[in-house]
Amino acid sequence: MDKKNIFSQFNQIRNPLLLLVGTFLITAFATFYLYGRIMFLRREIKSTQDQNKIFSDRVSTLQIIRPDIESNAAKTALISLPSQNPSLLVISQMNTLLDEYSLNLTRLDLNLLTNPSPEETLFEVSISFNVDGSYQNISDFITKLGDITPLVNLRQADISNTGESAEAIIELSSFWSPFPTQLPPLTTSLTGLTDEEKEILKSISNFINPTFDESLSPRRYDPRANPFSPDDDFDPEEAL
Amino acid sequence: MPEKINLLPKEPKKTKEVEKTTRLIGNATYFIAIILTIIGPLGGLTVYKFTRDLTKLKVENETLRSSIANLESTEQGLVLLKDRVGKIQTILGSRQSIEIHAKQAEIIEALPDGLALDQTELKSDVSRFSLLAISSKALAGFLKDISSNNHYVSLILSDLSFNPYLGFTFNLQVF
Repeated sequence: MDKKNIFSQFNQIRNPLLLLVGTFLITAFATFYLYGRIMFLRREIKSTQDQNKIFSDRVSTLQIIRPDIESNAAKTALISLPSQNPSLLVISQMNTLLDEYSLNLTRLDLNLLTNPSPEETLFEVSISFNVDGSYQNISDFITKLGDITPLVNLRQADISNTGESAEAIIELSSFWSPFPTQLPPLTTSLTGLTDEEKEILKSISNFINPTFDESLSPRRYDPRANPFSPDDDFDPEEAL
Repeated sequence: MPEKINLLPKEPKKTKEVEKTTRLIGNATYFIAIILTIIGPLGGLTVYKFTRDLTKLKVENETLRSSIANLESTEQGLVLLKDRVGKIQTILGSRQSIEIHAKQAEIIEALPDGLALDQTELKSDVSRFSLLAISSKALAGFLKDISSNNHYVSLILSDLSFNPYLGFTFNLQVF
């Protein structure tokens, strides 16, 4: 077979061959494009479905939990463990109890037990004091300290009984913790309160709250009258 | 008579091999074209359906996002409450002293005649108190009562001494 003949034969199959290659390329391109697009859409649908499931759970959890968040127990939890040093609140509570049990406060010391650092989240302050009164009243006072907010822990209580009266050296610690500053990421699932957490809220809901707390906003008062301002109605002779 | 002359080049005659190859190529082209006609519309429909589903899901996603944004104050409250409750649990778990004081007070309040409290000490999870008993009978009666009470995990009696003016002095440790 000579060269001319081969060329002639190729020419005869050239057009069908070009058509085959063209059809093949179009099919391959369409297949790869559609496959890639379908896979991309499937991934997107899957991830959006998963996200919607998390969002939907989050919305229903938040709707269910709403009454618990707005309950008095939740407010008590915030007062039980405030975000700032609760010494003043504890002393105020102690003062009320001291009056209730007719006890005399003879010494009071405050001492910060933990140095605030970025790693620490629970800070502790020691409140040490002496009281005088009857043993029974001191004992009832100590027992009642377990029912007040902000929460206190009895570190030490030494009571000396001298017949009709008694003297006690008491050391309490109270706690505070800064509020969390970040919400969990939107794509993570959110869980409501567990039974154990609800039980804790229930147990502290009967605690005695202070008459004031850190959530109070300052009151507005009318400005005080300036005693040195010129007053039209002021009569110096009358004043004398 | 003029002779007819064909000036067009003569079509080369197809050999059997060329015809066979052409038929093969033609069949392959038809086959691929059929695949394309199946895959094309099917893939296009699938892409259309998936795109529509995705659009619906995205709309739902936006609605849920806006619901979550509306409930943000509740979410903040929940995060805050869970943080507080977790820490309150830690604090309540470390409050054994008040419970021990209550046990101590229970013993002291129920002291029988002939016994008197001298001093009490309470530190972390240990309660120690010293009592005075005017007679051995009062002391024995008290010890019998308290040892029969299974309300206490452990009771330790120590430093028992006798003074003719005060009577018996002893220390009791409650756990």
